[in-house]
Amino acid sequence: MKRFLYPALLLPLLFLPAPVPAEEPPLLVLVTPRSLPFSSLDEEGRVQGFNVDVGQAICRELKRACRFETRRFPEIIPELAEGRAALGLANFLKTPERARLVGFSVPYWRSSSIFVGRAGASLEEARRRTCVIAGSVQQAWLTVPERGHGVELIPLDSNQAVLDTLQRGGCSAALLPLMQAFPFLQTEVGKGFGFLGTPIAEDGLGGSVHIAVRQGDKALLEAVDRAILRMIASGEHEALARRYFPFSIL
Amino acid sequence: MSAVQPAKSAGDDAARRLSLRKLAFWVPVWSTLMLVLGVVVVVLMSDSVIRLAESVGGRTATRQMEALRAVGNLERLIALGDHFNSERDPARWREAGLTMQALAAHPSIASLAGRSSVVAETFDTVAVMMAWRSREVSPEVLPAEAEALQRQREVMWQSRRAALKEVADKEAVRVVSEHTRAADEIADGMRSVLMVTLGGAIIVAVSGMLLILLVRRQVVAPLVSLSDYLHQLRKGAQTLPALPRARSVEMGAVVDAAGVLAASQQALEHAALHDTLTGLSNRYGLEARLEQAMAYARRHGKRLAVMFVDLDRFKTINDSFGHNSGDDLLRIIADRYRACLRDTDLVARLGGDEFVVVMNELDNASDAIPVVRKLLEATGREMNLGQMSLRLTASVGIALFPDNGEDVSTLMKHADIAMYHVKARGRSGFQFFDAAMHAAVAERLSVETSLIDALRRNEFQLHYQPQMSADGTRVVAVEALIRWRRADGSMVSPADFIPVAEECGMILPIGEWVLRQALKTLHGWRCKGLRDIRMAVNLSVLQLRDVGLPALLKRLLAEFDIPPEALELEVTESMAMSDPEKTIAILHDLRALGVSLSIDDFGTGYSSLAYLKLFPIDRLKLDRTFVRDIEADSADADICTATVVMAHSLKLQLVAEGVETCAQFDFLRKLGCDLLQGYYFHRPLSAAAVETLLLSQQAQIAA
Repeated sequence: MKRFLYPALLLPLLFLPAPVPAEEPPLLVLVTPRSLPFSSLDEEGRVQGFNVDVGQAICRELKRACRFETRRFPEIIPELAEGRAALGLANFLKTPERARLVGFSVPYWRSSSIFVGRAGASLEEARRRTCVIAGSVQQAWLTVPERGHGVELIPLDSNQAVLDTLQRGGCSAALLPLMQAFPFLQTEVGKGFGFLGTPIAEDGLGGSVHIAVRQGDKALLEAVDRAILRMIASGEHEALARRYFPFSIL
Repeated sequence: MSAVQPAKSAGDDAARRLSLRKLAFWVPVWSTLMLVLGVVVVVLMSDSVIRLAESVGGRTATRQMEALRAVGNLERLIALGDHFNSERDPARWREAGLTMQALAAHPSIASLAGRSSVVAETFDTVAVMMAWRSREVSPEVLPAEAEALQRQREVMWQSRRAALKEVADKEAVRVVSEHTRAADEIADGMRSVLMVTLGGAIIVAVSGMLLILLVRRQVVAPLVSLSDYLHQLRKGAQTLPALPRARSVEMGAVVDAAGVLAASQQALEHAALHDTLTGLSNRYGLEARLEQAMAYARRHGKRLAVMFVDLDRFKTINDSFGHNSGDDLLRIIADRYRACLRDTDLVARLGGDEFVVVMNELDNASDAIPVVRKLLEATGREMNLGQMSLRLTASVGIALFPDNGEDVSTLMKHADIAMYHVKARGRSGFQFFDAAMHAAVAERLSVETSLIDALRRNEFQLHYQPQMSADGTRVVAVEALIRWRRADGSMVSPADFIPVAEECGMILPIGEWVLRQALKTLHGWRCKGLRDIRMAVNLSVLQLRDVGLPALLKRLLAEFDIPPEALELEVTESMAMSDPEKTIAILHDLRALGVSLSIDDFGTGYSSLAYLKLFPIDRLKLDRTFVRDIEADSADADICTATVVMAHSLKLQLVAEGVETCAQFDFLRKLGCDLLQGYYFHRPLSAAAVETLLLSQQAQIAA
């Protein structure tokens, strides 16, 4: 008989107001500030671009508030590895080194790399002074001796910095993700420039692009994966991509 | 009885019977197992189909989306190519070219590179076309050369375009067919799940039906017919429905128990309602069936005849030949009666030698007569008992329903009364009841009721009739005669109430009262000096046979200080002769007391002279009927003469009763009668009157 009384003592708890979940702090999402059309700052200093749109869509899917901040490309992975930020959207290709530091989501688009230089220039000539984004796979690719032999490598903070330097003649070629170089070629200043050689997809320079998730947060990683897959399945991803690209980049 | 199944078939069945106990255990166990199994199968099937759908759907969807994107991008590439070749504005065709290159570099198109070298070479092709176009517009190139370049470029694009188009078309077709195949695969999976589920559902439905049938067959159906059976048994139906065939052990036990119950119930009922000796109905059986027969007759406006059949002299036969012979005889009679009657008629034995026959559906009372004659004839047929053969007669009293009564007890009573009339009339024959008989019986019943109280209310009196000496001058003795004056003042003759008193057992107290009263009177007289007078008192047959009589007499004689010879006890001739041996013994006992004895009403019975001489008596009292006709009938006169001679030769005194005339007195005196009694001398007188008479007589003698 008494045994039935103890649960009864808990009954009043049923009538207490449900505990209000503690307001979760907004997710810190890191993007690069100067990678047209993926992420950049508008006149008022707000982030914009494809990666920003994708990040916001994921936050909506997660039902979480997100705070977008810009970092230089090489800063993003370490910050995620230390757990200070939640997500990083900077067109990361998956490499074993990076995979040790951060979690990688399912791909949300695919990329390849390509040299850009003066139109009609010889790739052999042009690549002797090549600009790359610091910490990028392109930089790593060119540091391999047999490929980087006789190449003067100029690592720069951002995509835009690379392109600016190329335009100013600071380097004769730039090795960039194709979709980051392509908008530059379409601009007025990019008119004299063109793709040099053929796109490079092998040796880590091409393939799927992932969102980097802070180290060890498996729940967040899985939630992000689900959100991406849902966005792809619902067509939202395609709709976002079409705002920025003339074809399907997935 | 027939409803009880023979034990043998029940035994055969028992081997094949199910055990409901086991069934009650295994059915749920198997059902649960099957259900779980079914659920598991369906869950596994569904799961595999869902997995299939997911994997086929998911994989295919990914692949198809990929392919669709590839096809879309390829189509876009072709469109851009067309635009590139037709566009005049250098900025525009350059942008189109760059976009083509970006597209060509994208993995979606690269994934189609394996299909055609044209696809793989697209980036370079575009690069070449862009280079050519640049040359076309450069100022150092001649128009003719530019035109050749343009033609060369267009030809090249057309060939590449066709190849790209083919790849795109093939890819599109492949996507569609793959989609169809995947859909088919999923549909097949769904169909198989449906089939398995349907199969499971059918198995469940069939099992359920089988279970319902099993329960119906094993439990419900036997229970229903068992209930009907028990209902019929409770109603007391003659023929019970067949017991249900039990197919289970437990139901079998119930059914067998019901059979045994029914059998013992019917046996008990039969025993309660039937006579064990003859197998006929007994009183209860008769009453029950008579009620039914009466109800039937009432509904159909018919008559019933209730016949009381009593075998004459059966008691004598029983006493003479023994009870076994009596029982055999009753059985023979029962069989004969049964044979005389229709099936619808009823014959019962009430016990002893009393049978009751009920005839149904009579239209007239006279319809009963042929049957009664048949019964009487059957009774009268010779029957053999051991070496002896004998014939019986019967007395039959008939009461009719509804004429003589409308209930069982009245009908039986009236038939009984009618039967007694036959007996009274001299037995052997039949008699319909009529209301007058009932009146006689009612009167008798009233006498019987008031007799019981008569003693207590002191309604009896004794009168005394003097007996004169042979010369008629002197009173020698008196005979005490009882009179009953009822509360309403009416006098009842001893002839009317003595037989009733004998039947209802009141005769012993009444007889004792008479003896006491007579001796008391005699004592009174003797105290007044009237010592030479004798008191004669009549004994009834029951008094005579009462073993306490000698002791009573002794006590009374002592009480009133009467010498025994002053008391004379009178016994009728028929009483004495009904069992002469016994009478002789009793009379000797009385004689031993010293009292005198006489035979009353002599000449009316059939005395055996051989016995007469053995009776230790003092006097014979000649019946008044002989005296009455002495003058007119010479035969009576002769009898009187002969009786006197015989009495004297046996050394007995002869007393003549009913002397009413002088002529009779003269005749009797001449004959030599010893004592004379009658109205000619004195009527019966009160004790006081007798006392006066005796005192005056004593005075005369003294004078």
